[in-house]
Amino acid sequence: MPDFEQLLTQHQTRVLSLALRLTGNLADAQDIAQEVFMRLHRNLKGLPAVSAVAPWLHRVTVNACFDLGRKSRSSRLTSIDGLTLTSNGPDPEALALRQQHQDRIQSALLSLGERERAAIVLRDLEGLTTAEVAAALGTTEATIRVQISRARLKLRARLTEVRK
Amino acid sequence: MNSCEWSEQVALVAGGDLDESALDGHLAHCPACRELLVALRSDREWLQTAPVVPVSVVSEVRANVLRRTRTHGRLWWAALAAALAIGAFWIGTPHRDAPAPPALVTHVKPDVQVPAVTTAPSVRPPRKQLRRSVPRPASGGDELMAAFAAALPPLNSAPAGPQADTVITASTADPDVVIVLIGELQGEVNE
Repeated sequence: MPDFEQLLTQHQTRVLSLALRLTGNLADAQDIAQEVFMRLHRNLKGLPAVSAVAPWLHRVTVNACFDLGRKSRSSRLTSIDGLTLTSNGPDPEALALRQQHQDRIQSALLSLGERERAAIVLRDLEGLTTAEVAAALGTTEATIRVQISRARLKLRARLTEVRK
Repeated sequence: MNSCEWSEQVALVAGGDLDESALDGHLAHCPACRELLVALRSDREWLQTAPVVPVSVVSEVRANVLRRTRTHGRLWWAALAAALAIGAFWIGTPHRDAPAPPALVTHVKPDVQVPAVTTAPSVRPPRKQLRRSVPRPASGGDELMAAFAAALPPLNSAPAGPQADTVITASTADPDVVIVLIGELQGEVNE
């Protein structure tokens, strides 16, 4: 059986950032990450291998975010406050610009439907393959391709609108 | 916004979900799609610069999860210990559900006068006598019935005079519960 603390160390940041991208809210992302790891702790014996943990975590995190979205039903289009961006240089102006762009992307992401948002976040942010995204969302690869291509186009349109 | 019918394929090419060579012919003479492809690739790069969750937030989540898992484990042990303690207490305590045998107080009402009944001789065997002839192991109920039977007059004997009803009062451990058995003479009496 895999060691829980090792798995927590390995996946905690990833689960948090996935939840953050899907909910757009740090407090919600923290709650979801905690619940996801508590579920992992309860279901650890049922997982066949360590390699099954990451797909399981993706699926459970996405579902937890969907559940939260259904409960609140109010998409909170807030910027991700209190977060810092990675920066290659110390230039504060460049960092501010990046922060602004990140806020636009987050806002654009939250304007997507939950399934399109989940598909594009898993594919383009988490770097999962189409097959892995399909498994995480419980659908087919063909459906995921359609959702991803539409999500990218909607995102582009939204970002173009914001710039105007 | 690009309204070209190829835009969805362009979006797939931008993410590497479709090989660019599949669109080479179209991209060569569609500047809008070429522009869209560049923009979509740029968006994707921006999307990939995910915000870094502060270390303090990660640590907080980790600490909460570990605290909850440890509490969860302790709760299991506490529940197990409680179950064992209850089991041990139950085994060590006398079984309080078992009823105490009733204390029997038998008395015959002497003042109730019943007129003697004389009827034609019957060929039917005396049922009460037969029942009494079969011994059964004693229990609380049997003890009560035995006392009741002993208090009854012999059924196959001729009545020597007026017969009285037989009343047996059995008091139980509960002062509010009293069992009263009344033996009433009915039907034929053998002579």
